[in-house]
Amino acid sequence: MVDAHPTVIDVPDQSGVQLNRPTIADESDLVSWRFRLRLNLPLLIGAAVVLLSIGLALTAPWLTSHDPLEIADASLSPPSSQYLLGTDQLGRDVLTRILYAARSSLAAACLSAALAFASGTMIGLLAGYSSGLLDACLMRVLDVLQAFPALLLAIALVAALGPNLPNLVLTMGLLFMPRFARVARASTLSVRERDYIAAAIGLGVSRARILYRHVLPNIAAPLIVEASLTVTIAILTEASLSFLGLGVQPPDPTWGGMIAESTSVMALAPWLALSPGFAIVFVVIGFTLMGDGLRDALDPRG
Amino acid sequence: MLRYAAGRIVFTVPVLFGVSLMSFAIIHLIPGDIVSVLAGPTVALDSEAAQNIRRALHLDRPLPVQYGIWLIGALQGDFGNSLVMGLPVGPQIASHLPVTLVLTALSLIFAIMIGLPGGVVAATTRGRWPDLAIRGVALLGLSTPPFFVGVATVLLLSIYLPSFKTLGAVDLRHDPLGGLQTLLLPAFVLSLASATTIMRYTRVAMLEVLAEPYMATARAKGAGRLRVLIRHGLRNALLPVVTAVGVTAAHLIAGAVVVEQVFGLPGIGQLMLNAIYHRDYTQVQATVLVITTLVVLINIMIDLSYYLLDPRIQQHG
Repeated sequence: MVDAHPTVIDVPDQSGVQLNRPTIADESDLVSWRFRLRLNLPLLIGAAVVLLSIGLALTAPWLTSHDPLEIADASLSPPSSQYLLGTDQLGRDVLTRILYAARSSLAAACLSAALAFASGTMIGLLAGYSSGLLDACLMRVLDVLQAFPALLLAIALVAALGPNLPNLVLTMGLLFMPRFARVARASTLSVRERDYIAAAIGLGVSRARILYRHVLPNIAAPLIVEASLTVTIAILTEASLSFLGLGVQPPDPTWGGMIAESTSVMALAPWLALSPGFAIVFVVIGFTLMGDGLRDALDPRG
Repeated sequence: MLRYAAGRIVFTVPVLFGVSLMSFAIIHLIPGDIVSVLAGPTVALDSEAAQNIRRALHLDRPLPVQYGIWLIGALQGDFGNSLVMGLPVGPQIASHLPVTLVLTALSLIFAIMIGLPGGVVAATTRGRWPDLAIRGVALLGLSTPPFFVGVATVLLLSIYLPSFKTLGAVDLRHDPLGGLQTLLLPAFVLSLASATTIMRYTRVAMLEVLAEPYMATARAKGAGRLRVLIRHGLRNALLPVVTAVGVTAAHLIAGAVVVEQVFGLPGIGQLMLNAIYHRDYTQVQATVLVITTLVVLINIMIDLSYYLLDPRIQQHG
């Protein structure tokens, strides 16, 4: 590790290398939290569940011999060896539909969290680093966005834009952006007072490069924790929206939509409502555990 | 106190202004000409009928003027007419609001009744089985969408307790007791996620307070265990808990939209969803504005209650 990442002391005293010192110090900061990441049980279980869910979603076409829209001869048949979780009122295989629904749900959740991460971090960096009028204006906009109950705004926006996957990602990305912006801003405010930032400014490093190379790596840890927790909220939001008929539209399967469809035949076929519900709980618990575990693992106080 | 309260209220005016601007803007996000959405594709966009619709909705005026007209009306309780039914939107909201408010208030009570003791017990038994059990249940509560809890509860009750009335009309004005009874189960279902949040905040706050020296002092001077826990412990741990209650109150109102749908309750959420399904955009606009304003007002009240709870703010504030 010492060879791969020389500390400041290891740098030979040459004038040309001197210029790189602040950068190297930053990198060792970055490396130190990366290596400080102590594995813990929630993190391991959470990561395993998350990887398993994503793996199942990605390999869905090869895992099942049915098609999510294929209509079999028997509708509402109970779980059997041919249909492991039974079939719905149109005779479609429930397990296949749950696996395919995982694709749209995870795609919507992860993409919207990524969008929120990217845009929120950029806004938070700018606001925290520039302060003054720009900071005040950006923060007021965030106040307004966060004044809305998230689900309510999601319902209204998706209804106005039209319910489909890209609009879901766009809407949820906008909704979750303030979370990242606030975390990024708060961290930036403390990081920008550090000596290595003053050193970088003194060396004439451009502002964009300071933000990208010197501030961003040092505020990454809390943002990564936030991302994992945001995915859980995004999955729950997507499930609620699709339950209300505002998610990915039928006949394409969604977990929320499957539960909504099942309510009319609930007494006849209880497995229809339960299995997609348990799929939601399984995935959300995975991301929650991973987020909690990451927080413990990355917490500098720990 | 007055200065603090005035400061808080002045601070929310720009937020409310932004909220109204966004609620107004949502209608203009709809792709294409709204008149073709309303009148159907058969009506030509430049026909007399289309022009009449535009004039009635002030769509022929510039956007800022439209916003001004709408905002001035909204401030007086006039949100325009429903595009589908033609009736004024304001009274509709007023008649649906009580169910939502009672539902939210009931679930807030449930959430506090479950979350507060849960958090205290978890903190006092840290690391032992009650703590682990409570945290396990909390993880489950946080990971389950309320609508699924609702559907599963209705399902279980219909199988094991068929006499229990899970779905039913609510008429709070003419049958308040019966209405309350019908709202109990939905309120409980809605409260679970918030109870989890309150529990987590209470546990963390209590853990910090339990380590304080004054807790040992109180025990040493001979105060009973329970008395120390509640008078000295809980009271000092209450501030973050109040924050949690404020945060969850906002979640509860939004969650009510979904839970009302599960249980078929005639609340403001049902009003909004019906408006969305029928593309009744004035109704959607008004509902979003009213609910969000309510949430902002709740948050002001929470902020003001800090002042009453924490003498330290009174000294500095």
